[in-house]
Amino acid sequence: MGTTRRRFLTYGIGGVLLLLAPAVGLSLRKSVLVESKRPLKVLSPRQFSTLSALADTLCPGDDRLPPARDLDVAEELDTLWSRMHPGVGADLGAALDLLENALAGAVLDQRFQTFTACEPDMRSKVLSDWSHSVIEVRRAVFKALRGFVMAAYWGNPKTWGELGFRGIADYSAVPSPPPFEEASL
Amino acid sequence: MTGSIVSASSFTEAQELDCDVCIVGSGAGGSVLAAGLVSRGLDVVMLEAGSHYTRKHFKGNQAWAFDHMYQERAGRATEDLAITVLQGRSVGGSTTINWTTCYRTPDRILAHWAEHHGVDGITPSIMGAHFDAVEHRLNIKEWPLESANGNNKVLLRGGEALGWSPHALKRNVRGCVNSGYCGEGCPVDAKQGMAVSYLADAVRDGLRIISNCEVESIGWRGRTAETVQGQALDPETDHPLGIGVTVRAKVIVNAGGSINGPALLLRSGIEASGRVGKRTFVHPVAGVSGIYDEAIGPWAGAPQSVGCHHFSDRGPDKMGFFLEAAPLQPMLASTVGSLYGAEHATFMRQLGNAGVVIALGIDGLLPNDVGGEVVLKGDGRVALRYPIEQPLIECLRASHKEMARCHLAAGAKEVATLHVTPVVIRSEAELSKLDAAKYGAHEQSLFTAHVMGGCAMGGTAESSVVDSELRMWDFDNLFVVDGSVLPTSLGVNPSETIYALAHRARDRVASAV
Repeated sequence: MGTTRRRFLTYGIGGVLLLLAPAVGLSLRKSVLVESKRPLKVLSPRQFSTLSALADTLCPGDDRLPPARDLDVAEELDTLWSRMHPGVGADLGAALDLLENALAGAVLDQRFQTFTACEPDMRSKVLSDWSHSVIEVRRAVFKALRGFVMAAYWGNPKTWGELGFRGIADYSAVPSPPPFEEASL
Repeated sequence: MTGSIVSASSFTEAQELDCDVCIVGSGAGGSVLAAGLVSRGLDVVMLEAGSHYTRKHFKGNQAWAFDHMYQERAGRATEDLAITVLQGRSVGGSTTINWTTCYRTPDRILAHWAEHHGVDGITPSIMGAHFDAVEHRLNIKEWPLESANGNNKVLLRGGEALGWSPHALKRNVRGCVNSGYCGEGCPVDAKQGMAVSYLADAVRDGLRIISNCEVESIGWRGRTAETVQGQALDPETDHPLGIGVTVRAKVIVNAGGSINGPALLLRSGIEASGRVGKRTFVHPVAGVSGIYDEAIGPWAGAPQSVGCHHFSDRGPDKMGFFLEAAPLQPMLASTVGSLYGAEHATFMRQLGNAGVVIALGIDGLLPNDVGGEVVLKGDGRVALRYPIEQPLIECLRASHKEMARCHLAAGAKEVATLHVTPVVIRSEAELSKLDAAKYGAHEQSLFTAHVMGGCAMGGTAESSVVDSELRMWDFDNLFVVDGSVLPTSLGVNPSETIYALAHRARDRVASAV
């Protein structure tokens, strides 16, 4: 029996639907939301939760360093990005959406959950995959997000004591040099 | 007549001003020029997008400084995000936050410009008087080697052991207390940035500076630039306040720097037959860290006090590079490389014993090296496209090996690159690992704080944007006076070259009024 046009379309459409079903299912996987301590300015609740999970993976803290969430890293970045060109917040929000997306994760990272739903070890593996990806744009996104998170975390004075960094000295009592005069130099 | 510094955010209604000269941008070029023009009795208005900060704001806090005094809150990068771009954005421009390193333009670079770009009248003998003048005003002097911090002594010790002749470099400081906070704004006004030197002189003599005023376009007709159109910005958010600022001037000077300057021309429909924004160079910077048994304290002391130009000229077919040190305060240090989690915390805990040597590629000298391009994006943002091609990749591989050798010669117990997976080296025998490593976009951290070009000067209207007097070929009264006029990179830190070129431009700009 030859393949009729009708049969081809029937099986074809059915096949596509069969393939799409898990994809749709993956794309609808739930995010694990965390609440911001401040009203959000740029990020959606989902993007904020992804950023928060990312920050805690990059800077989990230990017995002497606080985790990123204790330093409000995600909240600080939402504020910072609100004072940049609107396109920056949109780009970074899209990058967070891509990181969170379970369908993209299944295709690219062999994980079948949203990033926020992953256990810490899996999140760390995902970030390792991104940083070493053969796809340049993934390495670029990782670099950009990592840079913002690290700067917000290690720019916080609460992390400095552990490094032996003496912090910000007070030079307010040091006088300015005298005004420039032609003959003085 | 005393001038003023006023924030456009204080305006309650649209402003219209008339003057002899309107200068867009208050960095190294615009400031030296402004001081010369007002001293000649001209009425000058300067527009600056950033805020005006003074020592009372400068507390050595890198987070505050990045947020308030750097372009795009220190988030600027090439379009592909491969190269982080650090540029200043406040009254004084990058001179408020640079690391004070000053060099005269090398003679071989001036000769290259004359031979290959038709630049006329910018010779070592002619420029000598201008270098003398700016060195005098800014107190540019050699910083004593005994005052070098641990990080710079690494380069000194390693370079000397290898016979590379590292040298003390010059800095524009007066009464420096070696705080190490140059990049956050000098807390004692020792750094002779523009805000405390040429701009202070100029305001005393009548310069009117309007800060928090972003310039959107230059209005022009035929060969005449007529107006500068700006808008007031909220100092805290940088969002437009809906209040326009229009300046009518006999002469207009674009001094907005090598990214924002070309972008302003492009927004104004001034393209110089497609040459505006082209030939943009960045001295692409790579770094290698070394861990030492002794404390280095890379965050303290003058950020840069030793330089090494042993590899500047590697022959006609290879990109040269020069070596310097870079300060490592926790915030900036944390952003380099790709480590995270416990591994990164371990790296950070070693910071006090770490030194970093950086190599700056000298781009734009090879015949086919046309550098990058500044373009406008559809949403109004400006982008710098900078291709990382084979000559730079070869330069990165070579410079990584020499930086690693320098650390080993200086006594480092472990050397690590800033690759996605760091290449770790503990002896000369392991240097070959660097041959196998990958180099390119997002293979390792790359930076620049030296954006140059984009409005290159040259000998003909068909090959350049401005003539050797820095006037745009297509205009009678529109000048470009900043680092964007450089036809190539310099092979040295660019601030003093820009000061001197602006000093030379004073008479020519004044005569155009």
